[in-house]
Amino acid sequence: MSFPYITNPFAPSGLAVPPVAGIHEESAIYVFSFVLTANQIKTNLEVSIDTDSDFYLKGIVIASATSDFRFRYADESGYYTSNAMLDSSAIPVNAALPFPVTPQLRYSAGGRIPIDLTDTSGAGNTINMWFLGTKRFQKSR
Amino acid sequence: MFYTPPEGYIDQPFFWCYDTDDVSDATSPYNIAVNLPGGYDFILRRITGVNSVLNPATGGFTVRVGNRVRQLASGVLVNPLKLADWLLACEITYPESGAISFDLYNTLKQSLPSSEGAIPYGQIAYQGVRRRKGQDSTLPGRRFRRMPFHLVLPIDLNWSYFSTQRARRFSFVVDNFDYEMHGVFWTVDVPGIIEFHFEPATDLYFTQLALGSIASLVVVNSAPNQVLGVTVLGQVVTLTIATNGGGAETSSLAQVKAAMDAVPAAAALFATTIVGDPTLTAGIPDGPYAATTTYGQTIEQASAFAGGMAKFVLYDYAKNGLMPVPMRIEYLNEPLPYGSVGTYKSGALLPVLVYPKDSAIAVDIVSLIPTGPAYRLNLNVLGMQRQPC
Repeated sequence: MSFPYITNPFAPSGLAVPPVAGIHEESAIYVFSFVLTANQIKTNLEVSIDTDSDFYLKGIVIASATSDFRFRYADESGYYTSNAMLDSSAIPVNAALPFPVTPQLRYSAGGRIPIDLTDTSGAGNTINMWFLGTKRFQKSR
Repeated sequence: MFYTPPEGYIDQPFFWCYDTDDVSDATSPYNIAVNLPGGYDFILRRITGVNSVLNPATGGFTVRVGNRVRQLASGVLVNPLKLADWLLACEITYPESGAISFDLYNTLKQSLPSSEGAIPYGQIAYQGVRRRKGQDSTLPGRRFRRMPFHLVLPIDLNWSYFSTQRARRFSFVVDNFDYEMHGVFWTVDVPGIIEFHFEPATDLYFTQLALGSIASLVVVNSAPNQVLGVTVLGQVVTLTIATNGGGAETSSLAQVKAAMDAVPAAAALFATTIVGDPTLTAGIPDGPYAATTTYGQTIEQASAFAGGMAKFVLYDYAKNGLMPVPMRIEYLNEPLPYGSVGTYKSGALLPVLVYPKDSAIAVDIVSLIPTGPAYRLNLNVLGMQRQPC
């Protein structure tokens, strides 16, 4: 005898999207680390995407930072996802509640996530960010 | 909060707000009504700000369901902080021309004290949707794909609650593509403050007036027989304190403030404020002091305001206000789905607002700050572009 699953109201809603036929997905996190000097502006930084699979970006977490900063990122063609830099204070520091990227953004294998950063603390800033998502592989036939 | 409007109806996010400016503290007004006009039903889903009008220890709240008779709860709801942000388990429909009726027990309004008088900001907001018959006209006739896209809209809050024109409008044109607004949150750029504290209870503040500047103050008091004076070179203000033959300071705080205010270049860089005894001749320590802007603070981080910086009215693309009176910015302020920090928990709009290309996102801002330095509010809009494909 089997019972249907119910939605667990205590569970976080997560960032999952429906599975795609013929595709195997694995969770993946691309880690981005950078050290800014006081008031430094750095553009055209990047996270490199592995060559083994496409990456679907679904959420962002600021894992650690010395202090406040601003940032923005772009899709793989370089199209920015905001008109200006976003304040880091509004981005979660908790991996259980990432800042959602929706709709998810696709980055091709071997591609890059372009990133711009600005320190707003007036002091040095060591930044560690996580780009959460999935790698997609073709299922073997 | 999942929902779909019935077939043939369209919804618009809406906030009915009740200001308690005219309600006395330590009273228990019953059967207060927020009257709803005709033309739209109102579907209530969230109540926020009850804590801002009630005594946190003894306050209580009741609200009636739709027909103005039946209570939502079986008794008075106490512990107002638990009602700061209240997501209803089931939406409540208030028919057009009806009223949202509620009772308050033991009022105590939140307000910001200032030297010009108290600035009240006790307010209850009822969030939901206005529902009317019709079809969604914002869906384009062509295919599109959604692209995550966020907007940062700067608003210079450089006027006070006591200004003649308390509310001001800001508009931002949506360019390139149609835009879906899914939620908002606010951040604040806070000017730097140089503070001197004198026992037992007097403070002298030099507050940076131009955000982003690197204004600095040099205090000189080490030589005997100095004369009180202020000079300015670029962004550097040099404040020379009067001293006697023994080198002890003789300038009172009031005289220091008058000297700063009398030099236009210095007054343009710093606002000088005394809280406490202005006759004090306390001795301001020698030295250079820098005032630097703190960028990107959350509302909670800008704690000097304890939650009251501004109210706002947000307009859709057709310039219909989403709230009939200005609402506290904290009540729509969170980047995450029923989120993580702060007293108030949601910045999501349901349904989302669509702004066609070349239309404007307009907001009216009501200042709730006293006369003093300028702040920059950043209205951060979370959403998506509709890119033709």
